[in-house]
Amino acid sequence: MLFYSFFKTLIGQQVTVELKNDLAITGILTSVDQFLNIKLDEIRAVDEAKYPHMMAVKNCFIRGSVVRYVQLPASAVDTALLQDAARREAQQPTTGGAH
Amino acid sequence: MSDSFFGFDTTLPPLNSDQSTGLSRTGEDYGVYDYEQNIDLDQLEEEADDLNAETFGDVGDIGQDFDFTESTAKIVDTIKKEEEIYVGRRESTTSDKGEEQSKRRPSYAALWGNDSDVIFNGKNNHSNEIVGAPSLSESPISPSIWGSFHAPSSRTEGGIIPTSFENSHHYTPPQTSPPPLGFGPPLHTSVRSPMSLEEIEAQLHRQAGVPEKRMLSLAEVEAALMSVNGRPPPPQHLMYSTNEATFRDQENLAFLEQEAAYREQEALLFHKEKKRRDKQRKLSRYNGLMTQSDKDFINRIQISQLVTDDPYADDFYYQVYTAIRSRQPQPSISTFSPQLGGSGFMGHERGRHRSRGSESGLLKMQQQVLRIVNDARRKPKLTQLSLEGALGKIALNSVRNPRQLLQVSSKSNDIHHVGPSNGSGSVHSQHQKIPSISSHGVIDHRKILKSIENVYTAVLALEELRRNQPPLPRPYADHERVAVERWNEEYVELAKTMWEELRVTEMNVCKGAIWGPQGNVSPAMLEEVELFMNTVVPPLLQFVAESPLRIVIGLFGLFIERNNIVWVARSKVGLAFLTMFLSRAEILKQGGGAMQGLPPPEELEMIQWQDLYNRLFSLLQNHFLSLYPPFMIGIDDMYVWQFLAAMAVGASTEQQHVLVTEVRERVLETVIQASRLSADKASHKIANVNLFLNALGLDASQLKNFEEEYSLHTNPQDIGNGEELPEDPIQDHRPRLLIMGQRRSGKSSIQKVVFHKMPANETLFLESTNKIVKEDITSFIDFQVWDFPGQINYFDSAYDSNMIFGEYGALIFVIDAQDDYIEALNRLHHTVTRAYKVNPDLSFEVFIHKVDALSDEYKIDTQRDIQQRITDELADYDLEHVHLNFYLTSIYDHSIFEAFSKVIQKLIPQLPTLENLLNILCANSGIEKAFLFDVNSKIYIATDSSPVDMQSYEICSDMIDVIVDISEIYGRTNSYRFTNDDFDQSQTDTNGHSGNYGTTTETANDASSLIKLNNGMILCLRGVNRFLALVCLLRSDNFEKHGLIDYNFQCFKEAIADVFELKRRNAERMKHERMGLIENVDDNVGG
Repeated sequence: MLFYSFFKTLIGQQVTVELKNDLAITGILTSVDQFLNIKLDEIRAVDEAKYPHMMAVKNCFIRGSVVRYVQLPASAVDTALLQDAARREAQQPTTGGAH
Repeated sequence: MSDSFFGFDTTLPPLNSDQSTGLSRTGEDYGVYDYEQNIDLDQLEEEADDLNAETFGDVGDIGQDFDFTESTAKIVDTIKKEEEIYVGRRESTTSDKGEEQSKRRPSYAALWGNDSDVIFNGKNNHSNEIVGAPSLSESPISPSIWGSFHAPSSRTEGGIIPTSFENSHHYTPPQTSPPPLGFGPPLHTSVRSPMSLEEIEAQLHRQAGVPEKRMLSLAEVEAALMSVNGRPPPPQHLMYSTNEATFRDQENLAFLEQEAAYREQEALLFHKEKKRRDKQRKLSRYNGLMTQSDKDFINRIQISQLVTDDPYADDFYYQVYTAIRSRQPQPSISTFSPQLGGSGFMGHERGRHRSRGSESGLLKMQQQVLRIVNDARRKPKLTQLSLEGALGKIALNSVRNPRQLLQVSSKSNDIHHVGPSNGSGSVHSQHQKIPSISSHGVIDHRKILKSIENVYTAVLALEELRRNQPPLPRPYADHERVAVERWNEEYVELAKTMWEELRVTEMNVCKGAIWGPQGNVSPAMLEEVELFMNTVVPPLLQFVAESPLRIVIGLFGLFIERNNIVWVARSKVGLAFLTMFLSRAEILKQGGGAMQGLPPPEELEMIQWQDLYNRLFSLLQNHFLSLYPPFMIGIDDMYVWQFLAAMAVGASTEQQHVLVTEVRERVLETVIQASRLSADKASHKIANVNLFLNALGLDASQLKNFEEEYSLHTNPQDIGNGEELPEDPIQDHRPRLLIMGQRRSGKSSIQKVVFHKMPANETLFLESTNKIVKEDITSFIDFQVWDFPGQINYFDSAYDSNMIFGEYGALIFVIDAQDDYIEALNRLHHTVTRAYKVNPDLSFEVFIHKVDALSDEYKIDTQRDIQQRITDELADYDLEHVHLNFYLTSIYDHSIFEAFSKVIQKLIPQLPTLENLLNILCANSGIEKAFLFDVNSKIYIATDSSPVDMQSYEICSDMIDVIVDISEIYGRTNSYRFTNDDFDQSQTDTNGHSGNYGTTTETANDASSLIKLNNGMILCLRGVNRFLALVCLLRSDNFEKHGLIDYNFQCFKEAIADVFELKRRNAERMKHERMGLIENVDDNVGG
């Protein structure tokens, strides 16, 4: 839940998603779900020369499982809070059946 | 696909609701959890198909739809009514309605009357979806998690036509048979039938211009449906629909107009459109693959995964983040389920025009989510599934329970429930910064980290506790009161244990943050101390300020026990804690606790406290003086006075006496210092001292005595503006640099640049000086710089010129070379004559200043002119034997430093000795040029007797800058200083004046540095002592014998030390004299 919770706060921010096939896409994060599927808007491939076919695409849906990295805008990340959240997560019983 | 009208869910509700039909037998098992637990979708679909049959086999079955429990007949009635109302309205406004009506009828018949057709491939959901969105064909309608992607860009090409096409496309499916209009055959016979239908429909709509009407009626049907079901749509909803109607009217008109235009162009556009449509068709091939209920279904799955009882537990980051950034969490979700964790899933819909379809979708979602949440509460979530007959168990993974990759045996959760009363993030980060290794050995790095983690855990626990704070109890509700009490207990317990936990970390902080007596602390360190003081101390202070003596004693005992008190007390933080405890205990002892409703301390506690106090006192005895930060470091030492005051209050007479004996020197020095400072600073200093003296029972009058007694020996004189100017014995030997000149000639700038390292271009912003600024410069020789305001005439009778000029020193007269200097010359002349009369020993230096803007030739001319004029004038007054030195200076290059160097060199009695030493050094080591620099001001104290050229001076002084800068970055700071005996020695030598040079200490003591220049020369720097550094310039060939150079240098260093040893002895003698006089004061105090 932490990642989902985290990515939700990034909605509306510009992120760069690196896929496992080495394609990197920059765009505005429109939405994300608990599988960390990602929807981007106003996208642009980082290496447009290599992926010219991406130039025609304006928005995309990325299945969470194909994401390798997501580059975040540093300003939108509250690291102290993230630490707290991680602690909280770690504290929770791992069985996950909290409620 | 399982579908029903308007995307209302047919699958889930019967499975779930109690009034469902016989099919719900199996459904019960699945409940809502089916979705959550990711049970096979095929199963669900099967189930759903069954339901399909069940649901759609008979129109009446629609009534069993989960929330819309009314019978379909009713609905149909309402719809009809609604429709009639609508039609009536329509007819009154528009003209050709007959056709429309007839057209609408059949379509309704198709929808409502003819059951089998209705359900055809679920397209009716689109009608639902589009209902509220006449003009919104490209706005997202579904409340799906993914929202909708933007419409393909091709859609925007064709003005209004696409809209109509779009609409028609959505509306076609229910009408499996072409409408009875006898419109021409399909335009494109080749395409699949739905497509041709669409096109026909499109044509049809274009002819009639009515598509929106049907939508409207459907919209109203929906409204009716909602109201029939006893779920009145939100007011906004209704308003929206009426707005919609008018809006649609307008649009219809517009549409008609455009349509006319279109007809004209039709022929032209036809083939274009055909192309476009082909494209569109391709694009829209998969439109409608997912029906609304499919989307809802997925949404439900998503939501069911995300719902949680406590969003703060599962969605902590998002919740707090939005709270912090004060971003509104999406209203859509928070309205229907404040506890819903997954509030982000509709974020993309914010700010967009929301269609009615999504409104109703939201409503449905709302109900479903509520149900899901309730169910989730009722039954605990399954984490594994054991099937009958299976050998093992199947673990069910979910978002919150992902498949475990590592099996770490978790020990019993012995989480310390501790945490500070306010868990601010900065506190955390503070702790985390300092996982230093304790000197105690028992506490290793890991343990410290662990304890820090514990504090965190405690903070989190405490936060959670706070959130769950029970409401204030109502009277007569015992269980509530009990809850509150229990909460309070828990809270207090946590806060207390937190405190103890914090102790461990705090000790480390103190250790890291210590600034010893002479600590030159790096800025980063200072920042950390500051941070700690600002974040950690206040809450603790608050806590202590409310605790009874018992707790204070406990904490105080812990503090003393766990820390090396002498060490810790040297730090500001440590003292702050001690002061805090002492003062609190004192307040409690004197019955201050009564105001807070605390009982007076018991006898036993008093004894305990006294024990602790005595222990502290004995620990600190002989160290009181070391508590002070060094003079001149620019730190307010008020906190030390506060501490001493707190100590003194509780001290016995004997202890008081010890205290006074130890710190009397500091008291005296502070008073002396205060008298030299401006009035407000002085009063601040005196107030600090008073703080302590008052606590000793000495009041202000006694302090006066103290001062009087002191002043008997000092004979202060008044200089005009009422400032006292006591001259202590040391001062007599302190040369004085008097900087005078016309106003705005650059006196203060010079002073700032040379002695304060102010960048030259910042001097522009200096305010004009309006009183005499006296400054002690502490270096290997101490001297005072007096900066006079230009506009005051010091030869007024109000000023005691004896006082000003009587001392040994130099008068620097600054002339602005860029200005008209005639007046300045007059004044210079006047000043020189008067000052000479007062003190013939004064040396006169004239700085022809601001020459940076002048050309070389002009500089020389100016100097000659000034020199000529002033000598002439002095000659007129028979003062030709008065020697004036002229310097061309500018703060933008090294000339000002050089000039100052020469001025100061004259004030150094040891100069010949030093020059001699340097000469010997140069001669024996093959050094071309050697400077003895004062590191702080970059003034050179002495150089060998070879001529000084500007370049070599500049490069040497630049080198000092380089070294100082580098050592500030890489140099070790305080730690080594404490272990350095030499250093301690020099500390006491220059008592109270050390320490403001940052890392230059290193530069001075044993620093050395070598820079090879590319012209074959070598720059070599060696630290001589705290203030001095030798910089020499030598050929690289000569440097090969650097063992010899080192040796020579060592000798030189010793020689210098010898020279200044003499001076130090003198100073010490002076100090002893002063001591004698303080004894008197002390008798006063002690007796």
